[in-house]
Amino acid sequence: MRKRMMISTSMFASAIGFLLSTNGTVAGGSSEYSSSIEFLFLAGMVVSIGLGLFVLIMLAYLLFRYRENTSVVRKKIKNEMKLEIAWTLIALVLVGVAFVLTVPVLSEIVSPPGTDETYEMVMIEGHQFSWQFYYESVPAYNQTSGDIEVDSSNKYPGFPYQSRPDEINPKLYLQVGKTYLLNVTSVDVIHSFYVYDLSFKIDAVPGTFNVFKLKILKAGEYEIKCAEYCGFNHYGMYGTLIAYE
Amino acid sequence: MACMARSLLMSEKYAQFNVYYLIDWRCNVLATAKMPQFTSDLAFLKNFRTLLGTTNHKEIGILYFIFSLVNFLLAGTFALIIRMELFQPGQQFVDSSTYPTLFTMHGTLMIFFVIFPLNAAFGNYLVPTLVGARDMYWPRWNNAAFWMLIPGAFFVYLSMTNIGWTAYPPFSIVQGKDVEFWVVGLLLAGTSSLIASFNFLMTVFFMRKPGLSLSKVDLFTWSIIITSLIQTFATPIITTALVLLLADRVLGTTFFAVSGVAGPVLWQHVFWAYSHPAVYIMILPAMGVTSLLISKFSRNEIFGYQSMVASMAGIALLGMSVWGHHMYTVGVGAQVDYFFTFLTFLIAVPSGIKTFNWLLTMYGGRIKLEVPMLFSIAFLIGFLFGGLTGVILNVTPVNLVIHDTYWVIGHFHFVIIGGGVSALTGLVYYLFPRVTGRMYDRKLALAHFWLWFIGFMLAFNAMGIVGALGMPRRYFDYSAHPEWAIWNQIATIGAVLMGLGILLWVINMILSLIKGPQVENRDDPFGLEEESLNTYLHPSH
Repeated sequence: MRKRMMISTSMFASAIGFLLSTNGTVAGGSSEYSSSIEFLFLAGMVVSIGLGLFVLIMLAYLLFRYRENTSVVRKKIKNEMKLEIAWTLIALVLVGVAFVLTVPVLSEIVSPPGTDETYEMVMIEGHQFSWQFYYESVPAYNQTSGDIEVDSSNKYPGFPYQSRPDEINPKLYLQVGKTYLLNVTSVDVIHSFYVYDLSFKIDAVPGTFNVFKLKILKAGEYEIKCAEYCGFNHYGMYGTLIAYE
Repeated sequence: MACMARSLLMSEKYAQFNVYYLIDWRCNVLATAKMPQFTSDLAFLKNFRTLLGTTNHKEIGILYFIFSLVNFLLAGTFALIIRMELFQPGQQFVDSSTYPTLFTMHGTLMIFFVIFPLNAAFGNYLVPTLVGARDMYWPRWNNAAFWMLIPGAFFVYLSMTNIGWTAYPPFSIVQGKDVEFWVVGLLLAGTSSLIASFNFLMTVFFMRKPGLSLSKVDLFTWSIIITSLIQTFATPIITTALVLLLADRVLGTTFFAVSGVAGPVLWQHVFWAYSHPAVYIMILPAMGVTSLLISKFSRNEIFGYQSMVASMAGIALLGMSVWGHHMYTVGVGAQVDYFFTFLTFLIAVPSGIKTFNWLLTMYGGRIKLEVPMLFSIAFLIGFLFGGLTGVILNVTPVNLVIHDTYWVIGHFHFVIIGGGVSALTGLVYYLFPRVTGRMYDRKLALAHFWLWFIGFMLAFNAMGIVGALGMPRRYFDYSAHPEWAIWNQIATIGAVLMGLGILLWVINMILSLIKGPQVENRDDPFGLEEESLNTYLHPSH
């Protein structure tokens, strides 16, 4: 019995240990909020490991101590009510702390940029099975190459430049340190604009426009994935976000 | 004198032959009928007429069980094909347009045609016995509810649809394959579960033996009461939603269409307003089963009976008001997110209370580590892991990263498979000698347990890790990310171990049914009753 408990405990611990040891598991630390998201994830992990180990050890101990054929003294528990109130309160405090830690980060993420902040809007449109990007101004990074073309159809007034439609691995050029408002929508079915390394995900729902702000802190190439099932080529709906200085 | 007679009637000795049945004319025949002799509860299967027409709650329970076992094997095969496909990057066995069908069918079947009927199976088999009723309140409706599932399953299998079990429009409206059949199948299954839940409620509320007040009803029956209440409130929501979806597809209405007033997000609200309670419909009976088994095999009274019931009711109430935590990335607004974050965190409290109550039920007991008890422990561990991963999932900013990744898959499989199915498997082993009069093979059962336990620990931990590394769910291929391969391989190995365990289980049941040793004491095949009260037929708690 103990052996099994040890196996399961070590399995849990090793699984979590892997997560802790890998640098930047949940978030790459490369956008404005990814470090606080990473902190929340690690804090949640540490508390969960603590609680999980406590319960597993308690379970192993009880199973061993009160196994069938021992002559150990078997007492009844007194103060049943007090115990229950105690762990109800502890649980309430724990979830209260979790909520209090969650809300400020969430409110920062969802709040619109301040009035003194300059920002630029980029329109992101999900297609089966590609992304199309519309810019307010031509990105400085790629003015000379042919990756960005003038939209002749002028689908969204105010977004004069757009990437080629239905491109495999389309590229989104964003400048480091600049606040962008990503205006995410879709033309066919629901997609989800997911950049794991920037800890950014927002659904692309046809008929609605989801506006979220994004500020990248580290230059580099980040993979864009689709996170909402959208058809047989859902897994192939990737793109690249190029963050340039 | 009158007082004495009354107390005599109230006493458990006369409970089964009380005046209740004499008053109720419908049950007169049943009351005078001979009690069935204990040979095997499976005898009705041999005759076509009794098979189709049985109204006996135990026999219908067995029918439900066989039905869900067959679907479990099929849906499990779908899961194994999915896991084999994901064993390596690149295309292995199926192509990318078959793959969505596999995960859609796996999800739909496992939820609506495995876990739901499994709960109805044990509810049918146990609840009337536990509350001292001769049968369910509406035995014929009970029969109808079961047989309604057969065409339901037929239509779902016929559809082989590719919309994902969540069926998000507009994909399910404009592009889904044969969604009409899928909808009709689910409507039948929903109606069946609604009938079953009304039946359970009526049975428990109006057919308890005298003296058994609701405050004395055992925890399994309580879990069925609360599950039935959730079903009563939640099933009409999905029924309406499915009919509207069908209208969108067939009649060209725009309830969930992009061109409609509400838009496709409305579906997500109504779908999760049902499907989140549905998660608790799936797990609550398993909680009741765990309470039953742990107190049985620890030979101890359940710790904190009242808080167990209260926490189940709390889970049910909260569970019906937290659907929005599936929609943090949809962009429904910050205030909505705060509201659902808070309520969802609160669910951790009753879940924690229950976990510690189960642990302290073992305190001071004499724990017999038989196979059913081992599966209850597997439930505790699966529920623990599922709960903790769920709390992390609800930290809304973190949810923006791990939502719709394999973390979610690991989380709910821990709860439903590692938790729910483990507990129900334990109950099958517990009831096997009672139902068949024969003992199962203990070695095979232990092998099943270890394969199952190690399998789900490997599979779902690996899924959680690969999800935290950013692998979205419902991905057919991950060629761009070879670093995900190792975790997918571990998950596949775990899934194969689980499959082997299930195979041993089925083999064990068939072999033991034919030539297992006869059980001496059918009321107590595990030798639990020495020095403890028989709480099976006369539940004190």
